[in-house]
Amino acid sequence: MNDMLHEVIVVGSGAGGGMVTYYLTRAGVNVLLLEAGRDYNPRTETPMFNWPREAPLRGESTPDKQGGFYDATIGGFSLPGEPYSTAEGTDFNWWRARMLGGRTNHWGRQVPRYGPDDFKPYTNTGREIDWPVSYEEMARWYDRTEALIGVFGPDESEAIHNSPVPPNAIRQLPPAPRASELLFAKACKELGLKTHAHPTAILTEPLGERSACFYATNCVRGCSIGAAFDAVTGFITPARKTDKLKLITEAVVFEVMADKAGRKATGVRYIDKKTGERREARARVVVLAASAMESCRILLNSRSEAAPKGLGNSSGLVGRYLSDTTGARLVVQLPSFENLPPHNEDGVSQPHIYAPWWLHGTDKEKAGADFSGGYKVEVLPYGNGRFGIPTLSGTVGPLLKFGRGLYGTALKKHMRRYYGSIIGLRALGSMTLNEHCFLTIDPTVKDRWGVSVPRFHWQWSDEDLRRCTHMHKTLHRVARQMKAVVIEDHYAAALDAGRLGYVAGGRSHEVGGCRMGDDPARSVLNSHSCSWDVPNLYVADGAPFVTHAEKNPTLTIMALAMRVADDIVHRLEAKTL
Amino acid sequence: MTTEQHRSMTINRRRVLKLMAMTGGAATFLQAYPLFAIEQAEPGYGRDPDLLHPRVPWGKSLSKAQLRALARLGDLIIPADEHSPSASDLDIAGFVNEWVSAPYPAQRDDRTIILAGLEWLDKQARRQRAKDFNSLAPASQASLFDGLASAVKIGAATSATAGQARFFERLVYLFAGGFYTTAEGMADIGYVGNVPLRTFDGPPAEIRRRIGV
Repeated sequence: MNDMLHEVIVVGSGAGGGMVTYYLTRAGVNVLLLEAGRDYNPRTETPMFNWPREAPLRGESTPDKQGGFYDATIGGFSLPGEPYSTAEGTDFNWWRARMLGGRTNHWGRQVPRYGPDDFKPYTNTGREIDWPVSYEEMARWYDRTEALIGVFGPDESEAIHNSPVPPNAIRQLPPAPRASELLFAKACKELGLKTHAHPTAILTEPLGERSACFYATNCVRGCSIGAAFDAVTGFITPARKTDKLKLITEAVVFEVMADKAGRKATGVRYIDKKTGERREARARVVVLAASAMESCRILLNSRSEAAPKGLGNSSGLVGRYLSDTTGARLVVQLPSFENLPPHNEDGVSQPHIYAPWWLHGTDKEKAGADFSGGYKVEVLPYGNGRFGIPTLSGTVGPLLKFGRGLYGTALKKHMRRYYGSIIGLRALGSMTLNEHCFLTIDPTVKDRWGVSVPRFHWQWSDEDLRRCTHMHKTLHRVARQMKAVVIEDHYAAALDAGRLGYVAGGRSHEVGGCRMGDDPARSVLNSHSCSWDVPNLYVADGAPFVTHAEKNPTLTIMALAMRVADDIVHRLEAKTL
Repeated sequence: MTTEQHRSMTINRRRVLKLMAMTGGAATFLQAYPLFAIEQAEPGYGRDPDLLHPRVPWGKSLSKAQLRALARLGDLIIPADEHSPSASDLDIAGFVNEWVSAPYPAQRDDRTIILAGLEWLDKQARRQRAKDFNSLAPASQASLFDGLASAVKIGAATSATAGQARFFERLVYLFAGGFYTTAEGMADIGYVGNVPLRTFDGPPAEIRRRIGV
């Protein structure tokens, strides 16, 4: 097996790697898929309907399960034996999921498209830099991705500028808004913010063998009925049904092998976790999709005489221009929601509706929004209001903070009155390109297998601070319009002190580090996510991102990955690979 | 002791000292009592537990006397009424035992606070010529507990009240948290989810009317 020459090696089985694997195997291309984590099957492993009281510590977060006991993630911010370092003055939280399907097993399934101004921000808005692809080129890849994974969304006529939505022919109907969301929508409308259904990769009608959602179990647990999209259900399982896939799990790729000239990838080196041995696998094409930061690390660790700065790094830009989603949130209490009759607000595990970024062109100038991109506004999910099974930290904690010192009959009355009336409001925003956000290879720290670890460097910019200050003000305006009482505001003190109040990486949207471009001197990859230096090496996770819009990145990761796979198929046929 | 266990124990003692420093005034309250660090760290449930068959692998560490005191405190926090039972009806003290016996840092912090608090209650009982908190008359127990609740309002005015407030709030958090995650507790506040629905249609008209949408 060590000697075998595979057609394509794909590293990582998440959103990008899973898509490439699916597309290639179904096109008849042989793929060796290497996944650092174990094999995993949401169909048989997901705890659907299980109550927190059945779990240790009522399912609360621990260092073993940092997202809570029932969170699907095998991994977390800290992994034993897999450290990372940060430069002095840098805070960075790096979430890793070590399992087949990666982070798609617990992600929020929010799938907004990047818009025309996001792919060409410099041309269209005079800020940031352009991607080498336009929205017009990406639209059909978005169409095909959404048709494949299944999404619900608004009527296409509701789309506002720069927030394109799936065509009606592709989208499924969205679930109705919750009570808290109806009030949110009303308040937004009165403030001049439009709301509509949030594009989400959760089925409301069956799709193939996947069932429609039944609006109960939190999607972070995974989904045994196939309603909430994950890469195992949607990509790996169908790929396994072809005879074109060889899957090796517990295989931690740490290096891409290349020829002496450093111009042709020949395969990868990986750790076989079961034995601790170092192994090699050879292929004609290598696709890195180990997650953005990990792919950068692998390339930087793939040094040779021909590539002293790392493979594919003649531009010096591997590991540079990292970005993450900015944001702010409030916890508010709604007096009109006190003592309401019991009703079910579970729904899907994300907001059913939201307010997309609404300030563009002269409106944006007039509003004094002096920053690139923008932010979206939503009702915060997970345990707020009546949304989801009550938990200690999500439900009881906030209610107690709102009634300190109470006990006995008074406490019970308090809980009865206020349960369901405390919700969260959040904004998720873009990030401005920043040369101070990058990763290098730590000179001394190594992981348990002796592989050098990444060292993160991070600094938010004044523009990010202005954007977060603006979104914080907007959240307060929306809260006031909802006649809500703000009971928790972690961001106020930070923003006043000139800080964002948020540690980068915390939302697990970190992308960049191998940006695409038209100019090999100013980018790592071409417009098909193929390395300029190494024409048979692709990167198909979040690393190719050029800029970071106020849209969750995963749909764009998948659409770009589908393009990668399509490019590989064509080049194999044309024998240019 | 493995390196991992030694490291967790060391971290725990550091965490406890840091906790005491953070709570400022509460340091005096907590320092009066020995550090209740678990000397031999037990393993947690691991990084990849079976989610469908959960297990609590650590032993329950509280004594009968401590559990009895907690059950009494729990019933002061969550008494039975016409809507739902009491904390002791549902053995929430058992849940608190699971919590404070857990090997993780946050639970160890709570263990220190809870056990120090129980010791403090026993000390107050001895001042009243009783053997311990459990031996006090119910009215005296309730009065002591009410004093803790008042400390929340006074806040960090004195080191003693800050420590008492912290003890009170962790007790209430654990008892209320344990209670409102039972079927009876959820029924009391009116959570009616976690059931499969064919469609999600939003709130009924009556609720829309009441919230003005």
